[in-house]
Amino acid sequence: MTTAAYAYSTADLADAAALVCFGCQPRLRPLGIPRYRDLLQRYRLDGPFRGAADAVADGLELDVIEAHQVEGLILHPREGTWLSYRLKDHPKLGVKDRLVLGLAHVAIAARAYPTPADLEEESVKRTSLTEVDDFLRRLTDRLREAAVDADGLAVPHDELQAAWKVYAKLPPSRPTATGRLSESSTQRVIKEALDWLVEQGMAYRADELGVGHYRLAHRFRVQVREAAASAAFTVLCDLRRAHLAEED
Amino acid sequence: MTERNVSLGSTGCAEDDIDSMVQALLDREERRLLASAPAVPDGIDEWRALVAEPGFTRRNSVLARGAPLHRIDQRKAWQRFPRDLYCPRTLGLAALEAVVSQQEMESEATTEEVVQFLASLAASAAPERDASEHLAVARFVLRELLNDAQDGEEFDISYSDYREGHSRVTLSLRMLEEGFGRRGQAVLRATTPAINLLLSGLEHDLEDVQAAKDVMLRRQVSTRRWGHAEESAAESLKLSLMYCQRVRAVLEETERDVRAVDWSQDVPELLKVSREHLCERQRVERELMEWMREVRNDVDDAEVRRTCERILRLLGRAHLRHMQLLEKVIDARPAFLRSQAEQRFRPPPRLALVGVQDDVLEPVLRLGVEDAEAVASLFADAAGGPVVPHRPRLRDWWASLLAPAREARETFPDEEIELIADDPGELGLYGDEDVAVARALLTEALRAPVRLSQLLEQALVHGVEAADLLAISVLRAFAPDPEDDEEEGTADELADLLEEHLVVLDDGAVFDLGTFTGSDLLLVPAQSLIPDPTYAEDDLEVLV
Repeated sequence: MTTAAYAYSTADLADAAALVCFGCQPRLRPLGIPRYRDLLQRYRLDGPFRGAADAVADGLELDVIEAHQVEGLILHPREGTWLSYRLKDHPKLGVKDRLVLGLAHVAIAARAYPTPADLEEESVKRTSLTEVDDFLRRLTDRLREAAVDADGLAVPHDELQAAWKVYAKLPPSRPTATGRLSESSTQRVIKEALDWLVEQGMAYRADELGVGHYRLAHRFRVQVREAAASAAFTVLCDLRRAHLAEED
Repeated sequence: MTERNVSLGSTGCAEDDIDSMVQALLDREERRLLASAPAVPDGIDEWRALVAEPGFTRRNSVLARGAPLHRIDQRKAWQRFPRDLYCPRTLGLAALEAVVSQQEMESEATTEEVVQFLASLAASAAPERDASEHLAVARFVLRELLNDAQDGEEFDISYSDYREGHSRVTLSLRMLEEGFGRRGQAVLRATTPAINLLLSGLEHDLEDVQAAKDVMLRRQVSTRRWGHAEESAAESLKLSLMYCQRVRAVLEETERDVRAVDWSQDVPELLKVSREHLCERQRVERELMEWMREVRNDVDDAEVRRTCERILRLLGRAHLRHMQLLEKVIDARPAFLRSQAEQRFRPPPRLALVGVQDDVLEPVLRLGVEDAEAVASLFADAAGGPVVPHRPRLRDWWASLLAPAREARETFPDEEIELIADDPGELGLYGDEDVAVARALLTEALRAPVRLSQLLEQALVHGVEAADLLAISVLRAFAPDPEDDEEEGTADELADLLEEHLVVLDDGAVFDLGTFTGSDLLLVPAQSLIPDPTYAEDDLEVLV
């Protein structure tokens, strides 16, 4: 880029920043906000403007994932940057709490989009607390069944406590005196995860389908596809490589 | 070996004498035969081999699974009930029986019903004891079964496994689960280990047990052991229910993701087996029902007839269950084809895409806690999108400073303790007289500005409570507690005066009356700040 002349007017830059600003508020819907809708349209059609908006996002340490007509500008904060959220920073959660909450997130995604093809397909998925919990419990049951030897007896436990045991140990749902879910149950943790997604504009409550039902928005699928799944997969591969190196 | 030798040696010489006498009496052939047998049987090693057998370990593990029931009367808290009156094992087993009998049906057993039932059992065990104790026993047993002490986690049960050297095996299992029923009520459900423990005490293959039950039922009916016949009809239904659940889970999974189950071999096999099983069951149940009907028509005894009716109803119920399952099984292949068409014949995904279930969730579940936590929370963080940190606004600052640290997660404590004062004296801290005194003094204060210390001095003449009430009311008017909004207290009875007609100010003065010390607040009538005197006069009259 030459230093002699700026290609963008200040108004363009303000517009680009405004679009990124809209994108930082994931619950805003462009169809309800004319300025957002116009900026989004401009982003989709106007190459130089897109460059400016991308640059603004880049400066804010954000990646633009998609500009969706209905969902708006979908942004992903780079890991550890100022707009990212980390469960680790949560003062109240211990390792196991974080594990169960993290598993709930993965399970919600895995339940809705089990295969890579599901991540490509634009569709609204429905899910519920019991469905996600049952899904995870089926997986843990399968692992429990696999943990027996030829005689059909439980194998002696090794030192490593597997993640699935932590989940399987917790009760699925325990009503309290007031008829809500108790703190220790896994469905309560799944509810926490889904409510967080609602707050982040990734899911909607679907109370008309019954208590504890949700709809997962397109935004969630894109976020999982472009950011979460690959990030987790990369770390998994690193871990596996490290384990293999240890064994050698 | 050594132990044996020592014990032989210690028996004294009398035996040695007999031994030599016997030796003398035997002929050579007999002596040779005796010598060829191992002199001292290798007892300990032989016994070890028995213990190392899988059968032993299996029995051992079955025994261990009953531990949660056995543990109950060793709890310290159980000791408060009189000894040898109630049997917690029986009550626990009874609770399981009650829950299983209603499981999967339209009206599942609710927690209250089971508590009632257990309390009635406790009452017949000890009719002379108090009803509240029966209820306490029932609750205690149920809470133990639910493992309430550990927030409903699974029981950890360890036993020793001697198959290869020695190792400790830890099993995790749950007996009962609390959940939400179809109408949102709290219901109890028994887990599979609990049902297996309750029905047979051993882990059999389901189909085998079913066949065994049928044989048993036929025998029982033919030998006219009516009670037993009914029992096994009921158990046959329970087993059918378990079987239904297993097949249904597989079918559901197929509808979601075709790859999750193996449709080339496993599922067709399963469907074939379950179709055969179901047809077989239906045939057997039809036959049994016909057989039972004949038996019913032949007997004259009204009691036996009623039992027959009950058995027939149970069989009918099982028949219905199998019909429903069969419908699902028959529809399974078209459902599979539909799902396959939907799931498989789509444009291929991009190469680099990650399958969330296969590539992330399942490997993560197998990892150790630490590693899994790192991956799972990374996923959760990345799935959340941008979170703009919010700065508090100045007008929220005051309340957010005063408010106790807020937990970001919605917490519902497992035990919700209701804070209700037992002692009636605690209910109203201040008597009507105190309120009247405080009200009179505050009404006085409407005429001219007055200091808190002056009011308190006057109130102390009437008593400490009145002064206390006055001080609290004034303090609350000066600095309302934002958390305290809904609380209804006696002090609030004075709020109408303090909120609307008096202004409380702090000019920095302090006072010390012994009982009360602190900022000497100034109470200024609001009317003096309002220019219209007539309005204030009217107001005052109304008040007085």
